[in-house]
Amino acid sequence: MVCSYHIGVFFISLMGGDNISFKSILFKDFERKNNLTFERNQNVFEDLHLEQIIYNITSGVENKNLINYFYTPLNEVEEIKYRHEVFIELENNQSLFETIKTFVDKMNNVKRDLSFSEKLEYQYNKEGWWLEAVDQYTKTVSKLSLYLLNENLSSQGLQSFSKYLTEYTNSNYFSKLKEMVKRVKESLEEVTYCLNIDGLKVMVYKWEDEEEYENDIIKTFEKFKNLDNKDYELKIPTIVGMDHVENEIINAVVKFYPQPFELLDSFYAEYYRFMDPVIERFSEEIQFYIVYLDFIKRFKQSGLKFCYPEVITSKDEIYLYEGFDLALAYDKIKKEEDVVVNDFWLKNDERLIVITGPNQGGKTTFARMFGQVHYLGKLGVPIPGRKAKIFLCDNIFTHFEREEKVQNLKGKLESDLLEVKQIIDMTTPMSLIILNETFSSATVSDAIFLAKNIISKILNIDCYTLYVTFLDEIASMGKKVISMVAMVSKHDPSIRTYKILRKSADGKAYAISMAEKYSLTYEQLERRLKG
Amino acid sequence: MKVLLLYPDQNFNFKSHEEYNDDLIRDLGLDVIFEAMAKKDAFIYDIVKKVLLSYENDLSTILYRQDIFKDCINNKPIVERIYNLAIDAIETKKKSWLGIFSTNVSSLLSSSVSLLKMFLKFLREVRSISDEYYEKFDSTGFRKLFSTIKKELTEEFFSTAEKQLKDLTFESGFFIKAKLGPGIEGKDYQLLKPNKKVLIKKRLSKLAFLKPPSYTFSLHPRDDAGIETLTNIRERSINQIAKTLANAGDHILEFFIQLRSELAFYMGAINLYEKLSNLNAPFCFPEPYDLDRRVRKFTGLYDVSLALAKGKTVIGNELNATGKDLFIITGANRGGKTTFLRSIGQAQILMQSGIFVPAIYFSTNINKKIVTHFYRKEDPQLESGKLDEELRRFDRIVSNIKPNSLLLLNESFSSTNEREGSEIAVGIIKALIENKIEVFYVTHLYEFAKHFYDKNLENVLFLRAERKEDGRRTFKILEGEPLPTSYAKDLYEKIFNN
Repeated sequence: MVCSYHIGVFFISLMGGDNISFKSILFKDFERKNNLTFERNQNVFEDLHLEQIIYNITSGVENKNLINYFYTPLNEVEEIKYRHEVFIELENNQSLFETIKTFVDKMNNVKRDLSFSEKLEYQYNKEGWWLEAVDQYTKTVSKLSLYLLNENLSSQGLQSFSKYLTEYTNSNYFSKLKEMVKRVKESLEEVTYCLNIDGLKVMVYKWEDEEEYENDIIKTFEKFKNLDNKDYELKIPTIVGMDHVENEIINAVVKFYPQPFELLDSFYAEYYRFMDPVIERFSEEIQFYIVYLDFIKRFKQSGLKFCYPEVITSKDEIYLYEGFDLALAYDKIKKEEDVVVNDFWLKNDERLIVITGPNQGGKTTFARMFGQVHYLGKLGVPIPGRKAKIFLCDNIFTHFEREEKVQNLKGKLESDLLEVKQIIDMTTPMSLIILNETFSSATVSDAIFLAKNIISKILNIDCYTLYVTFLDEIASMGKKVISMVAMVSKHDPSIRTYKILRKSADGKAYAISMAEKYSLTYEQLERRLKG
Repeated sequence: MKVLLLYPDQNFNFKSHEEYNDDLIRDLGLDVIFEAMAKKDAFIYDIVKKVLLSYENDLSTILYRQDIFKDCINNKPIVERIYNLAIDAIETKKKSWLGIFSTNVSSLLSSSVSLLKMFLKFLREVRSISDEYYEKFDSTGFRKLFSTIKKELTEEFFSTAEKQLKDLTFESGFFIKAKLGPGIEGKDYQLLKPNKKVLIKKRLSKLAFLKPPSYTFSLHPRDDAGIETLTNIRERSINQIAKTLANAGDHILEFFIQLRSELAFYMGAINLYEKLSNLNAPFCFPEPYDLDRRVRKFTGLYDVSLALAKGKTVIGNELNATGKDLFIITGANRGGKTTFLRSIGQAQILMQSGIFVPAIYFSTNINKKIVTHFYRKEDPQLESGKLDEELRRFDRIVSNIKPNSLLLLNESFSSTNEREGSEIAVGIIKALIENKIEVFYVTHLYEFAKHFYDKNLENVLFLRAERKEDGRRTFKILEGEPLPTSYAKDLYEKIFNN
């Protein structure tokens, strides 16, 4: 008595009087979720390779609903923090993460068994698979509930889910469910029967302590055994779901053992719909966190960093250190190639980054990274980079040079201009613009003229912008504009470093003697042979 | 049941795909030795190549094999008979095995049953040979093999195996036990021994009250789906047994393959033994020392590949050195230095493989690895790239080398000028011998040789290709300090003034 009173008090103080019962692990304010809209401008997802990233994150996930969450960015700092907390908790607590992952897998099995049961023909078969689902469900839910109860949870989302789960598993309904499934299963497990299959004739009979033959045979030939057994991949089709022959066999078995089957019938009738809808939703929504954390694991293993950006709505400063293009890094890591990381920062009145430098020098990649981190920031997920402060934009607009559009009747330049106009019309001070080689089809003087005019329009709107161009002239348009350059190796200008810097750094000159090149000097060799 | 004719405690792993050291084969001329051992038998060629190239580090293994080989020489006809028996058994499987293309349980089981019946006959023959000739063999290896056969292949084994194989033809149907699995579907189907009570009840089907309680039904002959279900249940009950018997067949086959393979090595050694005997070339059983010792004692050591290729005996060398880590060999071109270096490597490999070596007397320490780095004059590369190539090769060697290895260098680092070559070589060799690597270095790099000569180190020995007063070469390698000029001039004059 004292004990339960104590727990009650504990919860009330923990929740700080905030008594909204748990609804969703993805949305702090579940009711407001439906108001979320994002201008799903197809170009943005294509240009920034977001489509590719989301595809890579969610490939292999059965639940296609999940993909939609990655296309539904958030607009409230509070909501983003709600997700950050859950992410941080799952990321820092490996055992919690694994436990929840297992929970999700098991819940998927439960749902699969249930829908399978619905489709079956023979009654005992139907009830049998339903029983499997109940069994798995009760075990899975109990296990998670117990685990979370003993865990010192810090995120608001998981705390209130844990509270919900504790109340649920302590309910009479759940206890009864657990007890019943155990009883029915145990009595069915005691059933053992025998068959004599002789041609088309089948005799079903009760087992009377007969010996299995297998071990004797194995024993006889054991002496020839050695470690590597060839694995004969014998194809015995596993047929799940009974047919008339199995049904006839089972009906014979029921005659030898009637009781367990009577128990099963009544359990099925009484508890047919057993699953809790909130728990079911949690098992779906939490996958958002799992797939993302699983996805970024490979990058972390390659030494790349992720961080929880500070998301702001003012324009004091934004920055990102050691960021990278998530789509490119995915391919690089697959090929076991190095990934180059880059920084940017904009302070005070600085609004627009102009990137210049050689072709294939990593400029477009940098532009994508800039856009990706802002989009991912709006999803409330950890973003590429060691440390970041990013702006909570209302929208992202992109204009990338695209080859396939060349046949446009209006002429390339005109259509470019129309598109940029459209972007500028929609842009608010809270938006983000990324322009990549826009107006590259024009003559240089025309392009400079257009670019300068567009830039001053954008500067008037006062939104954050990134502009990739070959026009050095526009890199110096006042203190709101800063210049970054794709660097090459000082030693050999044909080598791109893929570093984009606000200032150029000095390359280090070096010369290696032949022996040093192969680590074959006396000192090097000493070390190698000792090591 | 293991063969254990190459190791006292384990099978030789012929399946390991360790990469061949092609440089070693090429530099030491080992392929000539393989060919002589194989006597045109591709299987033996493959085996001796594997065994020789995986030369042993363990002293007792080497002596274990020497004893077995002596038995082989003394009992050649019996060894050949066992060898041929193994081949016959392997051939039987090739001819009879039908299960190989099948992933079907029933056919795998019936194929396995008939194959095992045939293998049992060969095993009975092995047993009778070992009973008959046991006394004629002295080596631990052969004695152990014969006693294993006696212990494992008993009459009780043969009769039990034959009875079980007969039961597995299922004359009175399948007896199967089952439990209820997920979905109330049958699971854990297990084959039972034929149940006598059930057999009686089947015969007297009118007496329904007989134990055990039962229910019988029959399928319509055209009920294909139902028949498939029954087949499925049957196959699940014999799944494990089918695999076990198929594996048993594989393992008996492997025993015969292992027997054939391990004996093939000795058959190869017999071939080489006979060939050298016919040439009247000397050979002896070497006396190995442990890895960490430094002993090089031999007399009449010759390049066996050269002797085999020429079909006659060739000049041998002698050495009596202990405590040396570095041997620097200088002297006249075409004075037998490369041949000497090769004979050192060949004998080391043959000794560590556990057979005889081409010498009158041979006793050295065992080496962890035997590695060669020979200058390749024939490499079609630009001069500038050659040093790069040499160093790259050396870098690979260093990455894999272990303490107490033997490194045979032939004109290494001579792709650059002498000063640079010597500079590189001094550093490398110093580091190597300070780290327990044994080095034989045939070189023209006088500055390098002089550097070590002036240091007068205890663990360095200088050898030189002999040249008589009249300039004639004897192809003998003797102790001797490095001399500033080589004998290329002689050679030049001999060729151009002739």
